[in-house]
Order: sequence, then structure tokens, then C-alpha cells
Amino acid sequence: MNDPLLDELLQALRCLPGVGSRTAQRMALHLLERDRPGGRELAEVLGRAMTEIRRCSRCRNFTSAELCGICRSDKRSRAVLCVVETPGDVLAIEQATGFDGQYFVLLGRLSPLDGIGPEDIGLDQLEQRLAEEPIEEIIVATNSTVEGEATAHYIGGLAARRGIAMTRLAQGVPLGGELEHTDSSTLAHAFASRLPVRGD
Amino acid sequence: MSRVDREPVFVLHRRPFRETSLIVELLTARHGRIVGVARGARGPRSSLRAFGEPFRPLEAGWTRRGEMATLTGAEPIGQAVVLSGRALWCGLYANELLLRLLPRDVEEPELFLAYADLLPGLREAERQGPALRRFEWSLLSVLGVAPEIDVVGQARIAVDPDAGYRIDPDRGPEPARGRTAIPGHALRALAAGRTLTAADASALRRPMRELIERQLDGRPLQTPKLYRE
Ligand SMILES: [Zn+2]
Repeated sequence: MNDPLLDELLQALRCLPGVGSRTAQRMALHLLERDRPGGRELAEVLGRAMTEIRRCSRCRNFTSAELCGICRSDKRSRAVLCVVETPGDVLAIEQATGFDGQYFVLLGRLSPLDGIGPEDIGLDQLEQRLAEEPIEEIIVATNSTVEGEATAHYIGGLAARRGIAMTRLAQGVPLGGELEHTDSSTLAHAFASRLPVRGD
Repeated sequence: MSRVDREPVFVLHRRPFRETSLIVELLTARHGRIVGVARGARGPRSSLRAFGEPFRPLEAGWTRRGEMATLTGAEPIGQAVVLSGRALWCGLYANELLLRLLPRDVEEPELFLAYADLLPGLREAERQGPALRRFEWSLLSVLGVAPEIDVVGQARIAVDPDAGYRIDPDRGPEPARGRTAIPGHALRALAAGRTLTAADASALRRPMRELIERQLDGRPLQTPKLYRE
């Protein structure tokens, strides 16, 4: 773009997911031409967020305080703990379900083949919570990938050692999905984790 | 540039690459272990999505110049083997062994068959040990680092099924006593490719681990730290 500062801005914008050089150019020009106040506010909030947002000391979710809102709340159950991979998973579960227990955010998953072990995803901290808090059930909501499943199994071992019940999200045929059109791996998993049906 | 179509493969490992792609390590039927990029494979409608899933038999295609292949197709074949819990950790262990010990582009059809044989065996708890021992042994044999385990000493006297042994990595079986001694019949069964009992497999676990560790240049395997067979 012939201007060093403008080039720098275009380059910086490209750290955002899905933003290539075209989009970066559109974003920069939009802010400069039409929305300078918006651009200033973005810069200011982004700067503050990058320094002040850290991990909740109890659940590892993002927060600008020592404890996040969910951990601070006295209206939520302390007996049930839901383990997820990412902060986005917390949002998804909060929006989709009536879950009112606690969370633990791994910020990753066990992946021995990539050298990612239990400490890298805070499982030592999770163990400490299991020891100190009155947790009666762990719901493991890791992704249904090989690593998510391996992580769930490992956490299952931690829970079993303390006599804490553990459940895992059901894996199966998507809602509204027809068996015939379900991919074979999903169907095989759904078949393997089938549920008893009680006739009343 | 070389081109391969409809080659039976297993995904050993995959890593996200850029925003929607994967770097995939494959064990192939006739071309050994290869690495390739599956462009767009993480997109929900990608025809390469199957590369995201280890342990699933696939038919794959790729083109290649240089080390990195460009993966062009992936079609699931046969039945999906559902590995969960401990069986899954055993599978990850096997994959780690291949990634650490088998160099890329060494053509070893035998090893592909051994791997395809291993996966169904992992589904039943009592068959996991025997299946893993057989796979470890195939791998060491293919790599040319398996000692002779059914004969003793330079006189090459056949191992006595009823006696106990230890394995010296260079000299092979030596008579031994005590709790960790390996029964001779277990050594003979392993060497002959016969079915192992769970007890044989468990007696062979440590010596096999020691043989494998010698090939690792002091950098230990990660999976055995996280689960106990
Ligand atoms: Zn929190």
C-alpha cells in the first residue's frame, strides 16, 4: 500500500482467523474511511483484553478477575463438574443446556504423539480440585476425536481413584439424521454406545 | 511426479495445518510410511475428512514430488474398528511405535498386515497384551533388530518350554529364575508366530519394552507413561 504504517496494519490484521490479504485490506480501509471511532475503541479494548484477560485460577476459563463469573456464582451446584476442551465449549454448553454446575477448561487435550501430557492441560490442577471440593459427578465433554476420547479415559482413571462418578457425553446419530446417510464411523460409535430402553 | 490411487492405508497421526488442512502420517500397504497434506480436510464437507480419523481402514490416493505427498482422496473401506478406553491407548501406543521406529518410505507390506491384524485384537481386554506383543515383534523383526529368541547361546540349543529365561538384547535368551523369568514356551510361541496367552504376553512385556527402548535414542515413548497395559 506504499505506506509503512498501513502495511503494518494490514500485516497485523492477518493474525485473525480467516483473514487473508484481501480481507485485511477491506477491514483496514473500512476503519480508516468510515469508522475511526470504532477502530480506536477496538484498539483500546483489544489492548486491555490482551493484558488483563487470563485464566480463572479455579476452572482455567478466560476471565479478567481471579475467579470467573461461573466460579464466583453461589447459585450454581458445587457437586457436578463438567470438563471441556475450550472456552468456546463452555459457551456452547451454557447456551444449549440448563447445566448449572462447575466447569474445568483443559485448553487442549491429551496428545501423547504431540508430546502433550497431563500437566500441559492442567490435569494436576483438576486432581487437586477433586481432592478439595465436594464433587460427586464429573461430566466429561471432550470432543469425539481420538484425543478427546483418550483424555476422557484418563480423567476416568482420576475419578475412579476417588470414587467419583463419571459420565461422558453420548456419541451418536445426529438429531434429525437418517441412519442410511450417517457416516460409517459415527454409526459404529453410536452402535457401540447404544442405550437401554425401558418399556413402561 | 508420482501418482498413487486407491491404496489401502491407515492414518497414524494428523496435525492441523493452516486453517482447514491437515498434515497426515499414513501407514500404507505398499509404500511404507508416508506424510502428506490433506488440503481443506477439516471442512465439514471435505472429501478428505476421513484423514482426520486414525485406526480407520481407508483407500487413499495421492500425488507426490519430494517428501510431502498431496493427498487427493480418502474412502473408508471395511468396518470401522471402534477403539475406546484402554484399547484406544493401546492403539495410540502402536501408532507412536511406528512414528518413532519406522523410517518414512521403507516399503514393508508385512508391517501393514501386522498393523491391520492388531487393531481388531485390541477390542477385547484379554487379547490386548498378546496382540501388542505380536505387533512389537513384527516391528522389531522388520527393522532387523529382533534377536533370535528360541535358541540359546552359540550352540543354538532350542529353548526349553518348561525352563525360565531372560533376554539379553545382544546374546538372546539366557537361563534365569525368579518372578521375572520368561517361560520358554512363551518365547517359542512368539518366535513361531503362534497365539500367545495373556500370561505369556504379560511375561514378555518388559523384555520387549527393553528391546524397543534400545532403538529410541534415550527419548522415551509418551503413551506408556499415561496408561498401564
Ligand atoms: Zn472459573
